[in-house]
Amino acid sequence: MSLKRRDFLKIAGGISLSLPLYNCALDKLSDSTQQNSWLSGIESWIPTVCQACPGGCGIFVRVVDDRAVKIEGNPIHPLNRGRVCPRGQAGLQVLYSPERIKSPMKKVGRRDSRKWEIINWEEAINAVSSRLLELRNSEKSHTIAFMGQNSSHTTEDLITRFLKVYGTPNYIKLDDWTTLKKAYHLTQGIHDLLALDLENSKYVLSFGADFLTNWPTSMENQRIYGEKRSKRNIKIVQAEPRFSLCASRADKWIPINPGTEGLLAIGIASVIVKEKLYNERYLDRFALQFEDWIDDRGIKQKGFKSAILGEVRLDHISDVTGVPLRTIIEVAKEFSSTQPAVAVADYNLSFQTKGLFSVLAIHSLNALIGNIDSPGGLLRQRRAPLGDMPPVKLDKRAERGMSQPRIDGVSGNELTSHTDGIEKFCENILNKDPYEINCLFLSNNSLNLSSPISKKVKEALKNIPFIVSFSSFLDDANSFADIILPDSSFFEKWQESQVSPMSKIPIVGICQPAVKPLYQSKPFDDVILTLAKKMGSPISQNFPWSSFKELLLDRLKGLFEAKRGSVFTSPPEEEQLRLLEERGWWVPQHASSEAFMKGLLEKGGWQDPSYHFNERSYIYQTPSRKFEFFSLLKTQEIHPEFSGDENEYPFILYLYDLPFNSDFNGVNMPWHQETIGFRFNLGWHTWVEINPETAKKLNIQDKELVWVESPYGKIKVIVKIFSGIIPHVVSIPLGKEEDVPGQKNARKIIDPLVLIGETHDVQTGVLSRQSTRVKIYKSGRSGNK
Amino acid sequence: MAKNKKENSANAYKVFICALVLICFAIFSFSQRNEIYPLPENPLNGSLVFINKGCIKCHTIWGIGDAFGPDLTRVGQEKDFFDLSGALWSHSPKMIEVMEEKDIERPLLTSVETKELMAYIYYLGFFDELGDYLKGEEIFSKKGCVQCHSLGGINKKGGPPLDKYGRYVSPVFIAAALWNHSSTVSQAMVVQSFAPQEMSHLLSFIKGNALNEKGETIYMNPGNPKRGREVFGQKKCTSCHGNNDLNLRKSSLRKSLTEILSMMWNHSYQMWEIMKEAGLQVPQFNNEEMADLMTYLYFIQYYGEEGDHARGKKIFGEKGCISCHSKEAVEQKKGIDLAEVSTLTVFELISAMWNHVPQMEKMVTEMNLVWPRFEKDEMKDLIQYIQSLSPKGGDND
Repeated sequence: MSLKRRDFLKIAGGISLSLPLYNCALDKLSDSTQQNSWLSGIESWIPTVCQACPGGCGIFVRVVDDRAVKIEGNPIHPLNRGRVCPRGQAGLQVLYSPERIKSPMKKVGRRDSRKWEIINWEEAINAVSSRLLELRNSEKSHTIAFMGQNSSHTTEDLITRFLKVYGTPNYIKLDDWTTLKKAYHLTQGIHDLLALDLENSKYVLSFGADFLTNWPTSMENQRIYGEKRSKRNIKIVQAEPRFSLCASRADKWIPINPGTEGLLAIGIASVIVKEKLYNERYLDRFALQFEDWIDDRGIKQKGFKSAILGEVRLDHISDVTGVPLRTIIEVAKEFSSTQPAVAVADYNLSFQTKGLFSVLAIHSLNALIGNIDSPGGLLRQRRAPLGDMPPVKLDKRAERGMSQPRIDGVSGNELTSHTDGIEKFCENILNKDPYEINCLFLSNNSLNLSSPISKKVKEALKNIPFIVSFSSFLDDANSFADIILPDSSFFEKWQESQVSPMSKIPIVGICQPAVKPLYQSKPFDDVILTLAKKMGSPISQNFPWSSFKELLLDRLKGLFEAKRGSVFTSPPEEEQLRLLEERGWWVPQHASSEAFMKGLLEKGGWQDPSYHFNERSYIYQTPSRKFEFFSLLKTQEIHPEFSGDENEYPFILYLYDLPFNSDFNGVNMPWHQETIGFRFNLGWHTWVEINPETAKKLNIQDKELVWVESPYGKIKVIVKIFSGIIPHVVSIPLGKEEDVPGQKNARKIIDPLVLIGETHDVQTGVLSRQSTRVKIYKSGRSGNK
Repeated sequence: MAKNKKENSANAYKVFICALVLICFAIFSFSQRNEIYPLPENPLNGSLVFINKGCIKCHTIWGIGDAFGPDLTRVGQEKDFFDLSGALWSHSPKMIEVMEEKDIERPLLTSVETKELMAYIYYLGFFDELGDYLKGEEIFSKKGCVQCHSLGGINKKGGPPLDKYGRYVSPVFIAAALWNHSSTVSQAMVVQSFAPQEMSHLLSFIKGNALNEKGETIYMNPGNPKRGREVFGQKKCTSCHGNNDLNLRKSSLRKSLTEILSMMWNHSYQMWEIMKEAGLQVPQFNNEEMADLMTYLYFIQYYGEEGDHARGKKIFGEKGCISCHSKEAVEQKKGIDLAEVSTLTVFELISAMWNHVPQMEKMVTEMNLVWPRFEKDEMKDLIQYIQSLSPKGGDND
């Protein structure tokens, strides 16, 4: 081996540069050894709940000398049974992130400046409460709005109570799952998501549903999937434009054109109807408008069956969806003959121009085979019996404020309703229709400005005179805030964490502080209580609790009083409890409420493992108390629409969420960011997936940098040649390389959402991100980073 | 005349004293039996023994679970405490073999654990199979319930609305309501009788169709057989059924809850008529009392009929116990003198037997004997025999 002069100099330079660092490191190491810090730590394991995503898995936090050092799964939490996903493992990086906002801050200078000065909590609370009182005393209480995402039930109840007592109907809740809830409301009359009974299912027909990776119940689904796979008693068919992680775990992947999932469902339904493979007994008893019927005016109306038989042409469906005719027929026969089978949709379909109709069509398959509220089908969870808060006492100002219409145009002034979309909210703020908004509260991570309508949102925010943010990190949205009241992380505060209704059993996890709040952050709920008290009577009278912990523990007593379920227990004991409860019996485990609370905090939560089938009035809350096909009768409305001329923009853009990253909030978890791109070995970078056939036509190489351009914008990304995407579609993941203004040397933003136009679901108004065409061309540079 | 009267009075006095003595004796033996063979207070306590002692690793319950051993609900069917103990003994070598194969530690049982475990296995048959909604729909219509009872928003006149029963899962609630409203029950309803399981199906249909939009669910604590016996006395059921378990034991009430309820309903009209004739009021039960009473009725046959120590002595010889526990064998230190354990309770005896199975099996193999298996009632007779042995020698062969 020869050593060149240049190499020698490199090595010598390296050694000389690294010596001081080495010495430094040795100093640190010897310091720590002398202090014996490896041995002296006092260790404890705190049972709590991971809130890195909405799942709510049970975890234990290992704390050594008041420092949280490791997360492990709680083996008796029924959702995750000791497992923790990569995102959960990275959770501690949120707690110790150097980017956290460390104390309350006040905006300095112009509204759009990003300069703040640090203030203390007293000053911050005074500033907010005096502004609120000023608005209330001038009969403008309804001109404040609170924007939040789905939070824990007790937190949502606390916010609702605060807004009600203060006197505003404007609780603006954003939820990606709204379209599914609407579909279940139209067909079953319920305002809830349904649970997939994967445990008892033998056949899952998934229409692009990321049920193993991006559902709040993914950890539970993964566990059940693993158990069932080992016994080979489940078949999964995944219809999706892209070969996702879920598709890779399925028995069959059906590549399908984006936006045509609903159409495929109609095709499958037509085979089931034509071949009379439907569940007649179910349809007779529990469904309406399947057969033709006579309306109130005495006119004969076509039922779902006639509509399907008369209007659906399978060859046309095959052409539009790209799914061979034979596959449609085979799947229909398999689906209807395997019992129990279930068809699942998820939030991804909401972002199509015909999203609601697609979800309705998919759900109709469950009705056709009668697998709603039956084992292995879709079930409706019974909610956990948390204790009620005392009733609120409203003064005249609160009543007047609550009688005003909501600013987001949602009918009625129910604080519990979800908003249809942020767009209407922004338009109404800009148009002061029906009134102006004088104050906006932004909860942690509630507003993502990375969207096609970000310009409109920013304009709206500029028009609000006073914005208070509870964010823990600086981002684009709270750069508009006048006051920032930093929320504590979930490692530092009390919370109740009920699992999503997509799990068939109610589970209440108890999130308790593993460490003392770092810096000057305070738990959001305690800040709301402080604000309420600061504003004095009559508002403060409705908040008798000295802390959120007190309120929470008060409500948790309801679980003991309900005489059902148990604190988390071993799976065999849980099974015993389930068997007994299904037969009507329940055995108390704790002699007193105090003993119950002690057990609850030690074990990490409460569950009720039983499910009672066939409770009609709970499952069907339509006027007929049946599944209603009415909203499905116009099958021709289901064809998707795309913006961009097909000749100029030949590819359909398919944006998808990376595993465990459906809310894009993983930016403060570097470990997590590292893992989600590992499949393509692209780490932090965003990429565009192109079929090998397409790449060959365009003469594009793997890892080359290309422009992806739509009628609305363009981005430069790395090419990943991927045979798991169909030739005329290109796919880009969401949630990589986000805007992190607080970070020094923030990387250049590559936001795929700039490619999307302002197109919407025609029925729900939800922004559509799956309806844009793009073109691709070389950037002239290598993307090999 | 006066003398006769005096004699008559003396005779009557003697008869009265004799009767009193007999009653006292009967009560004494009844309460003594209750002390020796106590009814469990919470038969579900044994579920924890079942889990903690690892029985769950091999056995399923109600057919649910992945275990490979026999389902204990099935094993427990038609076996009383002693037969269950006999079955446990008879199958223990096989169990040891499987446990060794699967690397499962063999659990030891204390007398309390034995008591709780046996009661639990016996109790499993009390819980019904879940009712079938569709069959219930048919029964609701066929039995004419649909004619009078409002359900699920469909209003009918005549009977009380059934919607409120949608929240209850246990049939005890509806049973208590039916019984307590017996005076208002129509003739049309009285003539309806229910076959086993029909009540279960009917309840499933009622629950399914009742208006319960919030999906509220109310459960019951399982009954307490000991308290049930007190209810039986307090509500004067003894007036017709006698003040000990004997009469009811003959009625074979070891049935599932809805079967007992169906029986009760099927005979209710007859019972009310008899009560009316006897000038008795139909007793009223709250839900807990009804649950306790039902569980008590189920547990009446828990210990079966009394064992026969003479038969036990014969079994002692025939099954080869004598090979290790005769005077000679004891002297040769092959086994212990069973007279020394004759004062132990049945639970202590059964747990001791279970805990010493490995040693006994070793001895049986060494002596080239066949492992003794106990058929119906044999364990009971054998226990009776052991307990009859005098610690100081007596009837010890």
